[in-house]
Amino acid sequence: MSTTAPAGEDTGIAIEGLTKSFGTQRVVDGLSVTIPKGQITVLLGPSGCGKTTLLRCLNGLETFDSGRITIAGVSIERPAHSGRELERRVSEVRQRVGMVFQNFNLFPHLTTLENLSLAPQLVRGTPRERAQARGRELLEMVGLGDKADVYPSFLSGGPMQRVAIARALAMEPQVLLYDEPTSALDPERVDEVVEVLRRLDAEGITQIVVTHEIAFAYEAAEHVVVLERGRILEEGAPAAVLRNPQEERTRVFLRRFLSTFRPG
Amino acid sequence: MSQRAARSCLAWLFAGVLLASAPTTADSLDDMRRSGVLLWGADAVEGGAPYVFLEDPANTESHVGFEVDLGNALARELGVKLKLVQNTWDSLVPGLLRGDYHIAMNGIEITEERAKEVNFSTPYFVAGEQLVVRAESYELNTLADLAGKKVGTLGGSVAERILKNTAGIEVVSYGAQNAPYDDLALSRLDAVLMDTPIAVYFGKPNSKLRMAGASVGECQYGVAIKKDDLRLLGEVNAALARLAQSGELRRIYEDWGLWNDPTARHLGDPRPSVAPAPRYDAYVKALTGEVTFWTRVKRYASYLPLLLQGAWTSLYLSVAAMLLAIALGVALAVSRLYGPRPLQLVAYAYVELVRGTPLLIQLYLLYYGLPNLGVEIPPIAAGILGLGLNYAAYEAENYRAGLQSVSAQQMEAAVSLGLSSRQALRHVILPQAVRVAIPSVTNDFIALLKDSSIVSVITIVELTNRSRELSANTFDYMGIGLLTAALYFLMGLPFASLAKRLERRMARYLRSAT
Repeated sequence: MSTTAPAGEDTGIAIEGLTKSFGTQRVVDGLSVTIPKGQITVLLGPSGCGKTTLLRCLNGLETFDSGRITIAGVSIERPAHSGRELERRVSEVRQRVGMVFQNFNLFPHLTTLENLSLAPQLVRGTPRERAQARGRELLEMVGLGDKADVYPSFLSGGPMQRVAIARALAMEPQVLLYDEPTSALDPERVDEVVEVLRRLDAEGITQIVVTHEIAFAYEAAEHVVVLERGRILEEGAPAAVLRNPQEERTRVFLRRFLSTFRPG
Repeated sequence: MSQRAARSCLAWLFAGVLLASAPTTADSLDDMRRSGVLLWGADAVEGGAPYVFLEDPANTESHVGFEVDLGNALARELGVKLKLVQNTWDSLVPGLLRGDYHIAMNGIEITEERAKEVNFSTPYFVAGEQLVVRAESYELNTLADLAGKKVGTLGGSVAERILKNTAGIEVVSYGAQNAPYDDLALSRLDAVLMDTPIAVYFGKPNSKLRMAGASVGECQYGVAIKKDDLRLLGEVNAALARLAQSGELRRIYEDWGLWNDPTARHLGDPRPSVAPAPRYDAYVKALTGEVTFWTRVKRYASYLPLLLQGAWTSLYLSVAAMLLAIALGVALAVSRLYGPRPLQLVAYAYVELVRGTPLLIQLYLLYYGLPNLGVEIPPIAAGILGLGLNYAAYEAENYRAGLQSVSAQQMEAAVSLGLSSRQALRHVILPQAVRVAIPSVTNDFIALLKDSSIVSVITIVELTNRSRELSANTFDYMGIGLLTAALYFLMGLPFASLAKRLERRMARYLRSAT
């Protein structure tokens, strides 16, 4: 199929001229950026800068107005693609791109194991036995092997978020998107999530994390993109961007956040 | 009472508006001859003595009454067998026009309004209006004595019209014929004016009451027959004439103690009546007989099979209707929340329209109205359909509330995993919505169980109807009422506890539930 490249030839994520408005409010404004493959990229920026909207455009939770996104070998171009064609492409993207939410959004009526095995069974037609076996492996991997038959509401935030990551992994995504994955967690729980991200990084999964926690970016990012008013302000290696920003406005933004959020 | 009057108005309205243009069919005479059965519509449940009632309240086939004897004589003259079709009194004419039976005969007075909808045979009986007062009310003997008094009668009857046209009387209208006499005996009324047969059977046997003066006014009972059935009408009139000629008509009325001056004049038979009235005597004897505790217990035990039979009808009618309501309700709620715009509007309109109109009218439309468009639905199916379609509107709202209680983020999480929105709805949203909706659905089912009694207007005999039949034939409102209430309660109980268990089971994933 012309829209998809073989999984092995995945060349990272290309975003070209992306525009998205809500009403008269232009949230993403002709944004172009390339996200390197197999790395942890952190999207930073003040609230309202468009980073979450950008992330949601990447797996079709928002339909952007114009531009092109190429992700996991699927390219979506707007407004060229619409209706059925758009739906088909979005559905392909979603099968290869996982999403982790700020509030976890686990399915409360299913056990953690059922949370993990539901999508593979329904979407891929994986037999129940196999989906559950894989689910157990993934729970083991995120350190929750003993919680397979527990309902999510009986877990606390850190473990919930680890289940949510494992649930996304059950679909074997090439890309994982994280929307503020640690901001609903107690500070001492943040590390266990970062730990999981590092482990996945070692396996070569492309990960994009939206956050406003600079500390997280310091700790985990291999690539940092700073957004402001729907555009790229600055991007590069974390050491360069965070310690020695080229842009005055990046400096202002970082200073504000460092003073507010960095303890000591 | 006002309910009965309202229902009566409705029934006549539907008879007039919806069935006036009923398609012409073959004369019912042909149908009767082909089947060898004369189908006779009457209300043995509330019609009561001496028209049609049950000799043994525990045996629903033990119909007796002067109209049963007359019906049998008519059928014999027509060379066929008689079969009674039960319907509520107010629905007798709509049922006739719908073709549920060939004739309606149940103390139906010949009036101008009714004659617009149906043809009447020559009168088979002429009743007077008889005043009944308490035994000690010596001063009350004529209508003129009733100024400033409270007088009871049957709603929509000729007697009611007479009372309303007499100045100074406070008229109290009833739905059942025994109730005014009970109230009179309890001094809630000063007098009762009703058709002579009713006065003879409900007022006269009561030692606290007496018949005051001679009967006044006149009303004629006729056999109602569809306008198209002119040949059947001719045959019935000829048969009635033969029965009058042979003296059989007179013998029937004498048996039941009903022979009176107006009927004598009408039939041109002035000989005074000296014959005994064995059926009346038997009736009075049964009525005033001693009732010990044990006979009472035995009596209730003998009613139980009938009531259980009615309860079974109520139950399966309600369960079937509820299943329909749930299935349609889910479809409506999902359409309204997730469907394309036109479907949303259809679902919205359905809910508002069905919720905003009375169930009774919907049932009338379904059962008595649709045949007009060539769609005939048998009673049970119409009952299930009517109740189910009606409750679906309420269920739809329950599920809509349930669905809306599930966060939109659940849908986002599901589609992000690659589920189609249909899969997300079915496996993620609905299961959570159901838990929220269960209490209101249970509530609705128990309400439906009781509401299902409304199907008595479309000839179905269920628990409430059976109970009314029994109490009307035994005058034991207390005992049978309690028995019936207990049955409804017991029927609802398992569903309530089942729902509670289900609710608890489904809430096991909530931390607060443990």
